[in-house]
Amino acid sequence: MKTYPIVLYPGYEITILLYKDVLNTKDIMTELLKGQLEWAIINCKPIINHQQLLLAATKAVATLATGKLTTNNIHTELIFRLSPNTNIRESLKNFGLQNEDKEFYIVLFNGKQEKFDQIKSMVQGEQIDQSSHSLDTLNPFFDKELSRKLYGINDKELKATNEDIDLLKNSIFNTMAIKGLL
Amino acid sequence: MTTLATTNNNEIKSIENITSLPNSVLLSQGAEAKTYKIDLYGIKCIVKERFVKAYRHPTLDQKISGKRILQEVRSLNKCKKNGIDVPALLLVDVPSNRIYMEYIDGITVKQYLYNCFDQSKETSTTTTQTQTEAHQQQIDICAEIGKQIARIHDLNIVHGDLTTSNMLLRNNSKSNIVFIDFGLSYTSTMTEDKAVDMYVLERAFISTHPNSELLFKEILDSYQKNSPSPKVAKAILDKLDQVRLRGRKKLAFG
Ligand SMILES: Nc1ncnc2c1ncn2[C@@H]1O[C@H](COP(=O)(O)OP(=O)(O)O)[C@@H](O)[C@H]1O
Ligand SMILES: [Mg+2]
Repeated sequence: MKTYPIVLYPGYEITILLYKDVLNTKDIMTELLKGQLEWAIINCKPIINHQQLLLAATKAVATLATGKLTTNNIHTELIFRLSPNTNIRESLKNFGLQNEDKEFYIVLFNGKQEKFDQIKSMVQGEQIDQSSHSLDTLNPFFDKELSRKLYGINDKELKATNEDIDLLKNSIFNTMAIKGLL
Repeated sequence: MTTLATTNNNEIKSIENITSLPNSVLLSQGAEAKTYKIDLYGIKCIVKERFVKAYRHPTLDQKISGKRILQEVRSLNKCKKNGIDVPALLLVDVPSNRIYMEYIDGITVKQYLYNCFDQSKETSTTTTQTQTEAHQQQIDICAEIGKQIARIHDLNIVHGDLTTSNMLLRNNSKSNIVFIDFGLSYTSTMTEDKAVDMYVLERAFISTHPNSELLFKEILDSYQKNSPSPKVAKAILDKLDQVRLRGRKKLAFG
């Protein structure tokens, strides 16, 4: 579990939890669809590191500040902001939780102990110790091919032969940043 | 109290002053924008903040700078998607007139050329070999400039402010030119617009780097030779001759 301040919006912070070997994803999905959860459950495969979550979270708060959330709450907005797609359903499908997922991130804005306890009792799975993770530690479940597909990152952009992870990271961030502005 | 509710959000504001962030420095204060360097979630980041001009109408001004920001980020994105090295966007905050982008670690092409000129000068400590090397480095970088601008123009992007200060060298390497400052850029397929873009560069280049006519010719040669569409590039350079003539007449007859 890691908590970071959203530096551009004082007073806001996010807490990131990472789970694996989850056995009850279907039950969690049921709860999720009721719209009761006060946190975001995020497909961890296209997430390269915590920076990506923080940039999307910043954008979600920025959108909240304008009073024009695209989705119905800040946590869904976070998922929407991770996606390059402006279609909400597509975004939730690609970056939210799916029935067959066994690992995922849970992200809360301004989380409190009571909510952490609720999450703990909700998820039957192993919480991964991220205490040694820094902002740019590569997510162990990162799926490069999936990420490139979802973000539409071609060889030309990565200069074909260069397999540098930094280039891919920059392309992901860039694609998130330009969302809705083209 | 912070709120996560979707109503009553007047109190949610992005930080007013970028310099209140830890590790932030003001890098430059231009005519239209301030540029800061900050640490954003462990990422070295540039913030370019366009300021509102007091003498213009505030809402009109908001609209104009909003448009400019959009032009800038769209051009950056188009370049990036096409494999031209530009800073990656990190966040775009239109209401605050701020663009957050990747910080490029490296000197400007202007500085690089100055360093070469210093080395190519005859002094008691320079050898003929360092002079020749310095000269070759100047030629190489000019060839690279020409090639990359040809690629940008091929995407129908007119940069609008081509100068050697608006080109950085990633890791100080002369083969990694990064173009910045797309605030005056726009989309155009017109030969004339691209020719004027080259003319702006020529004027800036010759005045920043005296006695560099031959080096500038290297940029033009490479522009044509390495263009993805050499015939189009040729037409643009022919147009450049006309633009120059017009420029001169303008100077002569006011
Ligand atoms: N992405 C960047 N990385 C590193 N330095 C930058 C970057 N963007 C701008 N700068 C620095 O800030 C200066 C001003 O930025 P620029 O975009 O050219 O704005 P202006 O319109 O004020 O010229 C540049 O000359 C350069 O030194
Ligand atoms: Mg500039």
